[in-house]
Parts: sequence; structure tokens; C-alpha cells
Amino acid sequence: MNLGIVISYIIAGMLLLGIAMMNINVQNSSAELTITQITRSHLTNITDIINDDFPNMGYHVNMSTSQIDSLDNMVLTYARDNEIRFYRNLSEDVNQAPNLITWKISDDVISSAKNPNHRTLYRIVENLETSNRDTTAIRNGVTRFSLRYYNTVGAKIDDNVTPPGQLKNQLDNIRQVHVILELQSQEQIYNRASGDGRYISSVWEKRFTPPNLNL
Amino acid sequence: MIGYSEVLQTMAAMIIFSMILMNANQLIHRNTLIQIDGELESEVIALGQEIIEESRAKAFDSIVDGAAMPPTSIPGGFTPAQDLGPDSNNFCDGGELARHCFNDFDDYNGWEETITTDHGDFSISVDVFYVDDTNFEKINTQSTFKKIEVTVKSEFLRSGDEPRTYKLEFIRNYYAD
Repeated sequence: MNLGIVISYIIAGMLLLGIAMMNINVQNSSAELTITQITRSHLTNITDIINDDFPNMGYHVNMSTSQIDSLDNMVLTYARDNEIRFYRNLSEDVNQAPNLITWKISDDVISSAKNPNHRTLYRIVENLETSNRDTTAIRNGVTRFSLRYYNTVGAKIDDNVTPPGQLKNQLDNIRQVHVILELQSQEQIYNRASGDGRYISSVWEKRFTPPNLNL
Repeated sequence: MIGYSEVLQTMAAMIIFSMILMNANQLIHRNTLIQIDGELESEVIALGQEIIEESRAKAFDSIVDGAAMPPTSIPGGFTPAQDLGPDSNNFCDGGELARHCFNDFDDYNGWEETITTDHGDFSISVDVFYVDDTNFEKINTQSTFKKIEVTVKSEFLRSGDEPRTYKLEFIRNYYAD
């Protein structure tokens, strides 16, 4: 066989392999970008609600966590590292009873999810007048919802503030709430033909200073 | 024997392939930058808002902090423009200046810190100054308007060799408290 043709075939093969590899890399990169954007848009949808709820805790509520005279007379009623409960009036009507809002993440993962780390984030709104409970189960990729609490604006206190009735003073001291929210994609990204892929993750964190906890 | 024409053709193919490869690498690099920028910029905004929200929870001026009555002279009774910044009572952690000991809005003037998050370190610097009540430009005398400017930088957010500067602003009015 002609040596020139053999060498041409070898070079052509190398070029084809190179083009194929490059094509796979470009596709992977584009897929990763698309999945990142999807994950981030899910994250933004949730943070929009958190950004509305947390700074407005105590809105149109005739209560004060820092000046409580009874256990029922407080803005913030429950503060754990995975759950928070506070009063907020969702209406513009001052005379309407405030809503009790709960944010919490489930302990169990979602068994039917493609990503084994996915959990359910709940936003529960209770109407104290009608005793209606409106539960929104958010199942679009939440893997972490973590809360930290700070007193007198800055000094960190226990992650798990005991429910009211036992360590009431700790609840009274809370001035800031730090939220960390992490979402992961449903699909994995594979950088190699074999082996485990990785999930795209998007993290958001913010420390809130609700004015009604700082009166 | 391989003729020169084959060698030249091979070289041409290599050059074309290299150009395609460089373009593809650029595309991948750009995609990665977009991913990182988007993720970090949302954190930059959260950190800037965090400082602004915290400062809004404090008194407008040290003279009105805990005071039973408003100052007799407004705005002349407020802290002079050149004295905006931490007071002696903001040094509370064993004599150290600490953010959680700030008790009024302008205590944040000149404050600098590095905040560590899941996305790495962000450097924060804050300026607070009086602004004119008509055009909101910086002035060197007291007014009932103060402006806070929070500047956030990350070593991973760059324009060329320099870290990009993100500035978040908020104007506060004494009477709107």
C-alpha cells in the first residue's frame, strides 16, 4: 500500500477524532450552561418569594418579638436551622388577623426525583381567622435550606433556637436571619463517556434584617 | 514518496482544524464565564442589599439614637459631614470596631470587610455621605438626606486584570423613617 495514503488516513483519522471530541466538549458546555440557567431561574423564583416574606415579617402585625409579654405576642415564633415560623399580614387590611407563615425543608429526599439529593421546601400560610392552611410544596431542585440567626445585629446565636416556652429570650434576641438556599439540577453533566456525572448547583445566601425584629 | 502538495494539504487541514478548535475553546470559555458571572453577581447583589437593609434598621443619626425628642436643629444638629463614621461606642468587641455595634446609619461610613460565602471571598467597602435634597449630589454640609454606597468586589469577577466594581446605593430621608 502506498505510504502516502496510509499517512493521509492516519492524519485524517486524527483530525476526525479531534473534531468529534471538540464537538462533544462544545455540546457539553452548552448543555451545562442551559442547565445552569434553568437551575438559576428556579432559584430566582424561590428567592423572589423569600425576599418578599422575610423582610416583611411582622408587617401589619400588632406584636413584637423583642417586647413580648406573652408567648402569643411575638412576630417570630419558631426558629430552627431548617424551619422558621413568623407572623405577617399578607393583606393591606390592618384589622385582619395576621397570617402565620412557615418555611421549612423536608428531612426526607424525594424518592421519585432523578437527583437523589432533592428535598421538598414548604411554604405554609395559615389564616388564623379561618384556620385555613395553604401549603405550597416546592419541588424544583432544592437540596439545602439552611437558617442561621444573629442577635443585636451581628453576633451569631444558636442554629436551633428552642421553641417558645423554653428559651424565649433567645427568640427575643433574634435581629437577623441568614438564609442559605441551594438548588441542584435534575440532570447530570458527564465530562467523560464513563463514570459518574455531576449535578449543576446554584447557591444563594443572604442575611436579612427585618425592621420589625429591630424595633 | 510523499509530494509537497500532500504536505501542504495536510498543513492546511491542520491550520483550519486549529482555528476551529480555538473558536470552540473560546465558546466553552465564554460559557463558563457566563455561568460564573451569573452565580457570583446574584451573591454580590445579596451582600450589598444585606448591608443596606442592616443600616436602614439603625437610627438616622447618632443624635436621634434612643433620644426621646427630635433634635432641636434639623439638619444643623446632625453629625457634621466630616465626622460621619463610627463613634467611640462602636468599639465594643474588646475595643475592636465591630459592625454589629453600629447604632446609626452613618457609622457604616468607611467600613471595610471581607465576607466569606460559599462562592468565595467578597470585599465590601461602604461610604455614607449627605446629599442635596434636590439633585441628590454629595454635599459637605448636613441635610435630611444621607446616601449609602456599598461597593462589592470579588477576585473571580474581573474585567481584564482588574476586579470588577459593583456599587449599590440607597438614599435615606430623616423624615421617611
